[in-house]
Amino acid sequence: MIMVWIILFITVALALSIFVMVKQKRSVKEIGLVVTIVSLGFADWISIFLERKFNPNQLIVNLIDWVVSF
Amino acid sequence: METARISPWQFFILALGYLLGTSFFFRLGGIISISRQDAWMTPLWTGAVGILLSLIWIKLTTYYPGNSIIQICVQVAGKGIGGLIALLYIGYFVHLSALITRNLGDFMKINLMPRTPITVFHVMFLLIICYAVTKGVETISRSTEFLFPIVTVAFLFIFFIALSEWNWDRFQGMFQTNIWSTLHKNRSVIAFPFLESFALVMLFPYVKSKIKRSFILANIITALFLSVGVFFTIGVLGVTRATHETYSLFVIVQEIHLGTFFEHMESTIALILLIVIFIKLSIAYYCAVAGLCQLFHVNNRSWLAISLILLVSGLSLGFNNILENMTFNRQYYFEYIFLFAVLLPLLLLCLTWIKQGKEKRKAVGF
Amino acid sequence: MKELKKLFKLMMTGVCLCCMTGCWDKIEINQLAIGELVGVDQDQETGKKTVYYQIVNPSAVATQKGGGIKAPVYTYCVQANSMSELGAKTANLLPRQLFPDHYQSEIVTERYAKQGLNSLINFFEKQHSRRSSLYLFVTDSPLSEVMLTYLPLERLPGRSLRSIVEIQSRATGRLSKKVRIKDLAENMESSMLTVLPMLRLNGSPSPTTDRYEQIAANEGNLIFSGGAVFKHDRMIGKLPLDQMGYYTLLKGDSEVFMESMMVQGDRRVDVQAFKPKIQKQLEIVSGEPVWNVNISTRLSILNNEQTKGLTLENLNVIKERFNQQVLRKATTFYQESIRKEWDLFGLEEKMMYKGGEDWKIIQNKKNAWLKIKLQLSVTSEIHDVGQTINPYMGDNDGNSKN
Repeated sequence: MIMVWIILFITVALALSIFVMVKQKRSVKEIGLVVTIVSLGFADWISIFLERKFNPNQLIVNLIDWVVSF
Repeated sequence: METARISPWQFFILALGYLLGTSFFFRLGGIISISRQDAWMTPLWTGAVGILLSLIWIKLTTYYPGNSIIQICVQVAGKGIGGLIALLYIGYFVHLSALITRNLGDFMKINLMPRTPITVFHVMFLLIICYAVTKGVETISRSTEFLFPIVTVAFLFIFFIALSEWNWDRFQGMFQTNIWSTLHKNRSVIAFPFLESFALVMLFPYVKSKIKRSFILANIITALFLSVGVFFTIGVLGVTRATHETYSLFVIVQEIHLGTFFEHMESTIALILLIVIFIKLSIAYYCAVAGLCQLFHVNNRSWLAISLILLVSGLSLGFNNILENMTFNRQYYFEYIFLFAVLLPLLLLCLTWIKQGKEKRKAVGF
Repeated sequence: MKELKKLFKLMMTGVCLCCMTGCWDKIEINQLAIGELVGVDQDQETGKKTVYYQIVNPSAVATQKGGGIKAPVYTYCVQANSMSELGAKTANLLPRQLFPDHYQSEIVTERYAKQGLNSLINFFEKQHSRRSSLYLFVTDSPLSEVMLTYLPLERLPGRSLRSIVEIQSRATGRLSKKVRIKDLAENMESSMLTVLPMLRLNGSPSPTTDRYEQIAANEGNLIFSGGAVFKHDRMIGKLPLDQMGYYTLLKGDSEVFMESMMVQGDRRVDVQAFKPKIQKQLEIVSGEPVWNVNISTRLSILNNEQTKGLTLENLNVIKERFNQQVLRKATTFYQESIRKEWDLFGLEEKMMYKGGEDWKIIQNKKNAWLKIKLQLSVTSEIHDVGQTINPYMGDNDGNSKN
C-alpha cells in the first residue's frame, strides 16, 4: 500500500518538477540529469519495497573480498 | 561554478567539525575495544598516518589551484577516463552521504525514538541539508561558525560534570598491549575520520588563503582531541563498559547525576549530535551536488540537490542493522576509501608529472 | 508562478508537520505506568523469575502535599521463565505501558544473587531506556514482603532507598555511592569484587495505607543491614555492617568515616574523619609484595565523655588512639578478606599488570596475590572540636559503670 503511494508521489513530484523546470527554461542537460538521478533513486526504493534491496555496501564488500583474494 | 569565498578560519572550523564531530560519537568505543587501555595512542598515530597520506592530495591540488578534484580529473585524464573517475568520486560522495545519514538514523532509533521509522529521520534531515546545500558553501561555513562554539561549550560542560566519575584505576594495564598487533585492526580509524577529510578537497577552491595550514592543523587537533576523548572515556566509563556499549559517549551523558535534579540529559547530547551531523553531512552532500554540477556544467544546484534526496535516503537503508554498519566500517572501509583518497590521487599526480615532463621536453625541443 | 511557489511552500510545511518524528514515539503521560522500584527473584530449582514492579500512582503523588492519604505506589507481580517473556506477561497485567526510564532503585533477592545476575545485567544494559546509574540492593528478606510494604515519610520506596545510600555515604561512610548497576557491570570481567548494600525488612510488612496513620515508624521499614559481596555477577558472601566503613575507607571511596574509641581507660570519644585522602601503592619489599596504603584525614570530635578538659596533649592522645585503632581494625579487616580469598580491592589484577623482573617471579606463583601484605599508615589532624572545649563534669558522667 505504501509502495503505491510512494510511486504515485514520486511520479507526481517528478512531473511537477519537470513542468516547473521547463517553465524556468532550464537546459535539457540539467533536466535529463535530474530525471536520471530521480529514476536511480526510484529504482532503489522500488528494490527496497520488492525486498530485493540493492545494497551498495554488500557490493563493495564483495568487490574488496574479490580483489583481496588475488 | 560557485563564486563563494570562505576565510581560512571558517575553513578550519569546517574541517574540524567535519573531522571531529561525528567521530566523537561513533569512534570512541571502537578504538577502546581494540587497544584497551592503550587506546588513547591510536588516534595519535592514525592521525599521523592520515596527515602523511593527505599530503598526496594536497600536493595534487597545488598543481591546479582554483580547481576541485572533479575538474582536476577531467583536466588530467581527459573527458573520457577523467569523467569516469570523476563519476566514481561523485558516487563515493553520494555513498558517503548515505553512510552519514545512516549513522544519524541508527543513533536516533537506538537511543531515543525506537518506534519511529528510520527513514523519517533520514528524509527530514536530508531536507534541511538540501536547503543548506542549495544556499551554498558560504552558508554552510557560516552556520558552522555559529554552531561550533555551542557544540564545544556543551562538550566541555559534559566533560566537567562527568569527571566526578573519574577513576585512575581504570588505566591499569597501560602500555601492555602489543601495539603492532593492533595496527591492522585499527586501520579503520585512519579511514574514519582522517581519510574521510578527503571530501574537503572539493572546498579547497573556495578558501581564500592558508589552505594547507588550516587543513593540517584541523587534522592535528582532531587527533589530539580524539585522543583526549578516548582517555576521558576510559577514565569515566572504564574499558569493560566502553567495549560493550554501542555509543559510549551517550552512556556517559545518560548516567550523569548531579544531585537528584540534574539528570536525564541525553536529549541534549542528541541535539549536539544533530549539529555535528549537520556539519558533516552538508559537506558530503555538497560535494556530491557540486561534483555533479561541475562535471555536467550545470549552474544551479537546487534541482540536483532535491533529486538526490531520494537516492541518498534509499541508499542509506543498505544496512539492516547497526552491526552490519560497524562490521563494514571496521573491516572494509579502509580499503574502500584507500582507493579514493590515496590510489586515485596518486594516479592523477603521476599523470600530472608525466604531462609536465612531456611539456618540458617539448619546450626544450623547440 | 508566485502562487505556485506559495502553494509549494505551504505543501512542504504540511509534509514536514506530518513527519514530525515525535508522532511515532509520542507518549501520553496518562498512558504510562511509571516504574519506580523493581524487585527480581529467581527460583533455584525451576529457574523461574518473579518480578515485582512498583508503579507510581500519579494522583496520590500529586496530592501528597495537600493531605488525604492515598496509595503512592502499587506493586504488580509477574512470573516468567525468561527476561523477554516477562515483558510479554507484564503487558497481560498492566493497563498502562511500563515506563522504565524513571526507575529509582532495583532490588534482587539473596538467592537470586547467589545464582548469578548475569542475565539480568545483560538484559538491563541492552534496553535503550535504561539507566545503569541506579542503585542495586540485595535483600535477605522475602521479596514479596519487601515489595509489599509502604514506607513512611519518603513515600516512594525506590526514592527512599536511594536516599539511604546517599545519606549513608554522607553521614557514616559505610556505603559509597558506587553501588550502582554499572559498578557491578564494570567488574563483571575483572578480579575486583563488588560490594552492594543489603536490605532487611524490619518486622512484618505493612501493605495498607493505614500505616501512614501509625506513629511507630520502625515497624515494616526497610533497613540497611550490611554488604553483599559479588564476584563477577555472583554473590559470594556478606560483609557485616561494622566492617563496611573499613571497606569503603580502604577502597578510597569514603566521604566521611566514623570511629568510636575509648580514651583514658573507658571514656568514650567519637570522632568523624572528613574526606580521608588515600594513597595506594603496590610494591615489593624484600621479595614480598606489599600494599602500601597511606590514609591522611582531618578529624572532628563529635562526642567526648572524658572527665577532664580538652588540652593539646589530650588531643594528641585522641589522635594517636584514632590512628592506632583504624590501623588495627582495617588491617584485621584486610587479613580477614584475604583469608576468605576475597579480592575486594582488585589487587590480583593490579599485580598482574605490574612489570619488571621481580614482579615476574611473584606473578608466576599461583595465587600470589593472597601473599600481599597490607602496610597501612594513618595520619590525622584534629580540626574541629565542636561547640564546647571542655566537657561538663558531673558526678556521674553518663557512663553506667560509675
